[in-house]
Amino acid sequence: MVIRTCARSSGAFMKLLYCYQNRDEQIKRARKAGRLTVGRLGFGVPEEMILAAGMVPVMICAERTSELSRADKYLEYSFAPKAKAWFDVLAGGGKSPLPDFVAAADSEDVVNRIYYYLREISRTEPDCGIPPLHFVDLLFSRHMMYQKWNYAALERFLGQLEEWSGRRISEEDLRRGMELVESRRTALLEISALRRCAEPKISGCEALVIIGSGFFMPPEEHAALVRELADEAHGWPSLEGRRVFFCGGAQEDTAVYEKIEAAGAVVVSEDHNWGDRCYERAAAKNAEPLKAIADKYMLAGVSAQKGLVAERVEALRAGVAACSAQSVVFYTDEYEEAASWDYPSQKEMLDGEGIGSVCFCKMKYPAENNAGLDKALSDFFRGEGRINAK
Amino acid sequence: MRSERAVKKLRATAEAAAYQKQWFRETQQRVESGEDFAYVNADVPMEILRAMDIPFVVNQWWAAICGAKQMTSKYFGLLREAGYRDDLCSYCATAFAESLDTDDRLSGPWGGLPSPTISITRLACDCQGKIFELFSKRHGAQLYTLENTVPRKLPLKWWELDWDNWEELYDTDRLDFAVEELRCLIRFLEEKTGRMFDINRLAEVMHLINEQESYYLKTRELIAKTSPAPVTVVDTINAVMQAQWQRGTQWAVDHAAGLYGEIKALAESGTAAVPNERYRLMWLGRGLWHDFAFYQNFEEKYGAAFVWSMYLAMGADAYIRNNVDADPLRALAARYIGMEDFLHCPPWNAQWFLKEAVHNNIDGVVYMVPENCMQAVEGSYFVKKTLEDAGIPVLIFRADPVDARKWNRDTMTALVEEFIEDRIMGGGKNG
Repeated sequence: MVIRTCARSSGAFMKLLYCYQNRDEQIKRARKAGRLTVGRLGFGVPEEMILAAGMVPVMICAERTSELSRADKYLEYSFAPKAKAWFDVLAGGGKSPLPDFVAAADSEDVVNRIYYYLREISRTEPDCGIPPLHFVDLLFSRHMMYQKWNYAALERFLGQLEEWSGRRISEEDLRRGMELVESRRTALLEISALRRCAEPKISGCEALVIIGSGFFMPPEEHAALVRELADEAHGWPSLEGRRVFFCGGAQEDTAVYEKIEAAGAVVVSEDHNWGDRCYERAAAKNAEPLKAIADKYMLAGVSAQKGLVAERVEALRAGVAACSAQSVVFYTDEYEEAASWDYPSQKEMLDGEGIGSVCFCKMKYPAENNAGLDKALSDFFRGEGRINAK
Repeated sequence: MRSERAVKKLRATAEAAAYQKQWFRETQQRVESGEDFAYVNADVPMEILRAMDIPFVVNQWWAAICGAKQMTSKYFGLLREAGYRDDLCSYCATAFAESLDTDDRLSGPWGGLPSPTISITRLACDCQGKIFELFSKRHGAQLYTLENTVPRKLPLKWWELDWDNWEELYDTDRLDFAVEELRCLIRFLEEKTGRMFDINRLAEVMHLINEQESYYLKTRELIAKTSPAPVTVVDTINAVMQAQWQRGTQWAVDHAAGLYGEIKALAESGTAAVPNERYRLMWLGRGLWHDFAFYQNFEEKYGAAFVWSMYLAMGADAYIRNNVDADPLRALAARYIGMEDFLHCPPWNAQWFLKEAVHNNIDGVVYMVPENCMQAVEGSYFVKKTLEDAGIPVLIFRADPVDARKWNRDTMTALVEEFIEDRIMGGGKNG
């Protein structure tokens, strides 16, 4: 299935695909326009605030072809491969240009560790070329005390952005940043509807491109293209195949989805940050901007890293129901460990609901390195995936 | 000659082991009589529970007991049968795995872990909350979690500030926040157990801890300056770790005093743990609970003695908080928020290890990095570089503190022997 001719015939889609595939051009474009860039390491770094500062948010992502020479030097083996690749990029081992600054947030524990390591390299090797760093110390346990802490954390981040950008950030600036992100969010909801409907018009691979390209282009441009595409996609051929909910590690590229969809399924939703999770929650319009932004990130859908098992089970139940999924594919790379503790309870819930599931853990990255994955997926969708499903 | 079992020489080590069994039996009886019982992670401010006389067991201590009793293979088999991976988070998951054992009352260490009514952990990694949640569900316990914040201030020599100048050591908002977390924890425990927290009792507990840890300080200093050392880690790890989890009790103070007295007597009489001591080794990482005899494999052949582990040294440097009475809660906050950072956050850990290596006249460092624990990912590159830049060779190897399934003593012994011969005898400080 991958990316169909109808998508490739769409001007809007092809522009999104270009940005998705040529990620480092974002920094080059910003430099050309004289704008400063802030790398986002972890999804807890609020892009609204970076936009409010007149700077360009850049998602730090793995370079698939990176040799990981810097990561291999500094990191222990127990870092997940994509995390290694993030580190490698920021420590100067990648081919992409580096952002002017980097903000990290504790949306997953490995980000803390990478931040510690980068900070220490910067301290001990002042000429290392690692951009100036800031840690956005957001907490995700849902209690008022932590919410208050998060407000203070964003106050500090605001101060840091003002220092980096050399300008004062007003409430109006923050509201403008929020509007830009919200506009993109509502556009992506149209895509979500086209995936979740009875006859899906957009494949999982196409959706990853549509959603993920937003990390590498201006939000207003992204929102406009997504809306244009949504209008076109109503007329695209419907997709046939088992409706799959994807649960587990974030997919920064389409490789795993390609394999799932090539095996005869359609990924209609997911719970990771490069898919539906990244735009699920809106910032409250009537609250103070900084508090609204903090709450948006703190209270976003329960992540594999920060959610407790019972929360993850209920989130999956709701996620599967919302997209009428018939099967669930669990997939995590080696050393992406947290989700492994959720899986048995989630599987038990799915079994009770009559929804088939299959689990791939300790997978190699890139996905092409997993011999036998194609066959295993194929077998699943031919066999158990259908037998167990309603 | 290599022994299968570690030879522990100190009376204090044997006394600690005996006390633990007796205390554990009493705890089982208290639980059976209907008292609330807590299971807590090592970085939880257990002083609050001590002050409220709520019986508790520390996760890492219990995992060590299970490891030492060679139970982990069975327990991780049960995990696998229940659909969980059996290669993750062994230190934290042992008790959850044990909870799957229907035969635990008969086959578990010392009659098995009694069922807690409360479990408390800090969210210091992405897995810990989930594991404690699963454990709580198995036992019907109520889960309570504390958050973990990131240090922004990083004065290199934390050990010069933490006893008295913690306001200078930590970011003020982190300390304020930790105090608030303590207040919330107290409120939870009061409501759960029906017992009222008494701040004066906490101050007493804190004073007892200061007294206990000051004996560890004296003991550390004594071992550092005495060569050949009167004891090795085979004794000190067990004696200190067991008593550390009893901190805040008079027994723990008396035990620490006894430990110091016994080692002092050995030093004064010129009794050495390894009479042919030529090389002093530092053990970095958690205790190798399933094979303590490993530490003694290099004594006879090379005169290589493991004289240092974090267990005693952390007691000496990381726990004491003076002027407790002014604000016992803030003093406690200033203790517990640093524990993870001192051990796992560069540069705090690397600088401290270097200070300790120099102070203890260490010739080589053997550094065990766990295979499956993100919490113990602590910048081993920086630790190794800091020590080796100072001329102290470091051997890093992968192993698990409680799970013996992948451990091969012969292979690991050969690895350390090669390190001693090539890096210490051949090129190290005494080479």
